[in-house]
Amino acid sequence: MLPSKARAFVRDLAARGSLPALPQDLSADRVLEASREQGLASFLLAAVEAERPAWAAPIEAALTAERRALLVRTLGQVGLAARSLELLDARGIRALPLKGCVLAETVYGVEADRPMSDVDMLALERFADGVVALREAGFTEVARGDHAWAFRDPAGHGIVELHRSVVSAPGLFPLDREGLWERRRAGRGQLRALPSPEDLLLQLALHAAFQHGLVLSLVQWLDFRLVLERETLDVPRLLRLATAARARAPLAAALVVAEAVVGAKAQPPLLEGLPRGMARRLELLLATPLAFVAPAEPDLARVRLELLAGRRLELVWRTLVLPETPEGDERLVSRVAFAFARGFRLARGHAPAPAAAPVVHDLGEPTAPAAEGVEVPFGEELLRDCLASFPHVRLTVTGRCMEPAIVHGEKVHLESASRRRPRLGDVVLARQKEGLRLHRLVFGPPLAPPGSRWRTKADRGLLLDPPIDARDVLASIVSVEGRPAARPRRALMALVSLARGLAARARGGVRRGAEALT
Amino acid sequence: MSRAARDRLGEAWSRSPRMVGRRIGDEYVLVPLAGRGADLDSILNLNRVAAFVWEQLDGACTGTQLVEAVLKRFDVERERAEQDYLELIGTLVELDAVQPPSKRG
Repeated sequence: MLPSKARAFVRDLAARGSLPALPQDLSADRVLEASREQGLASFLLAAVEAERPAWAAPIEAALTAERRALLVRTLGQVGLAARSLELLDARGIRALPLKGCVLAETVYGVEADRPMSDVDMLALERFADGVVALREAGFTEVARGDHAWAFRDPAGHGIVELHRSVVSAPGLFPLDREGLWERRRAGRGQLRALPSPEDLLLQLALHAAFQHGLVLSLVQWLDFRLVLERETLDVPRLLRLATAARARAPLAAALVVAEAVVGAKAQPPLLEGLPRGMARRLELLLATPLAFVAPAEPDLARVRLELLAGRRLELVWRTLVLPETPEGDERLVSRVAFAFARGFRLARGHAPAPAAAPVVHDLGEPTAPAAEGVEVPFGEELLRDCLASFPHVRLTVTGRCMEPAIVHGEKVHLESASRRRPRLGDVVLARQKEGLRLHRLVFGPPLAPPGSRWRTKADRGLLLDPPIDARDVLASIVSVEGRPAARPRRALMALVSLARGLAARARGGVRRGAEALT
Repeated sequence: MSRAARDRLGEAWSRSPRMVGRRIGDEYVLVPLAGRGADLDSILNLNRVAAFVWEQLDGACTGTQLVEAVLKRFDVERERAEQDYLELIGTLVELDAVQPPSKRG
């Protein structure tokens, strides 16, 4: 388990731009681990190379290797964005890159300094034609959200998301599409055109506040500081744009938090416009900046409600009434009917049934079967991003330790812990010491008292997994593709499994079962 | 020096757009943009002189001009600089990292 002081150390580094003193009880390995988790390995290496502290010598080689790998990966990803944009351009569709790939080519010294899970581009017109263009170029559609569709690159450089709006609930923050295009600037790397610095900052703020509930990785918070420091911002223009997009509150909220987390200094007018509830909430939390750093769990619904004070009915309407049904029907009557059905299912606490069209983010085919459990062959960063951006994430599971409930090779649909609170008996995606695992939650809500640690266990395993914090559970399986009758949640099985795990531990004489729950 | 080597020094090569050079910390690396993403084997590490030459490969400067620039910037013998230049260009051609030259006198 990564200690919070390792994240605090890396946060200090991001905020100061130089290495803080290493606490005596913190090892270099933990710092390395935290820097990887937060997307700051390359940033840490730059600081180590500049200051050469003795404690960092054992991790320097690993950091150097990491930076090279990140350079290759991010260059490939930016290239993917460039190719995708050219495909759209060839069809006369105007589109601009968004977020990470823009930042990698502008405010960061080298692309390796800005790792990203996928690349995003915003179609300014003819979204449906853009989808066709990507499909015809061999891109495989793997996900649909209300604001973006995701595609896998046939050349293997990763996932590209084609957006129709910057964040979920399209229309809530109106896009000035002509203005975005008019304000674009020339790129200096692989990307030919980039959004203006003001548009970029506004998009980052909307993404941070509305899409992610003000919880980001440290490198994403660092984006704000670097944009404020390295871009020439026209503040009155930014304020005009934010007002027109009805996004003053998300802009202010994101900048207030960015200052607390990484010392991003924004001009005071940009920090105005926070609704009272949000201001109160931030006042309480700002003293603990790590509350805004992943893997902290965002209170997404509450943040959205507070950001949209005075527009809550519109928030509900635009959240439920999607731009089209999963079958592609754009007629209002069909969308409203679908919204009612969806709202009804959600109100009853039922998992939405898997639709015929891919409404989930498919993260790929399984790797070789794992010997020790159901492995998740993807980075946590990518999973977190997908879980935040899409209603469901689809994974092909590997391993046999959850059979017969989950069979090797089956595709499962996951819902993030922030959307659906994990409960006893769920099969959950949890962060274990050896990586992400899909195991059953055998001690958790409603059985576990608030603040206590939870336990997971493989159905076919003998022993309980080590205790985990609630925030280490990223998502729960809500359905198994091709088996609509399958019930992934089994509370009774969880209790039996827990008892077996405790009995096995007692037999092993390692320690008493009751202690194992503390 | 062979005639082939003299000819090559008279050529003006340019960087291929499918190859990106980046200085990261103390090292300078060339990364191919085509093909599959994370192929660490295809990265090329350049030393200081090679990185300097790479950045000057604009399709306008001939090898001879670049060798002159190297002699001005680094403490190195002409013969050694010419030999290193020719070796570097040979490697870059093999990797498809440079575009065909235009011949100059």
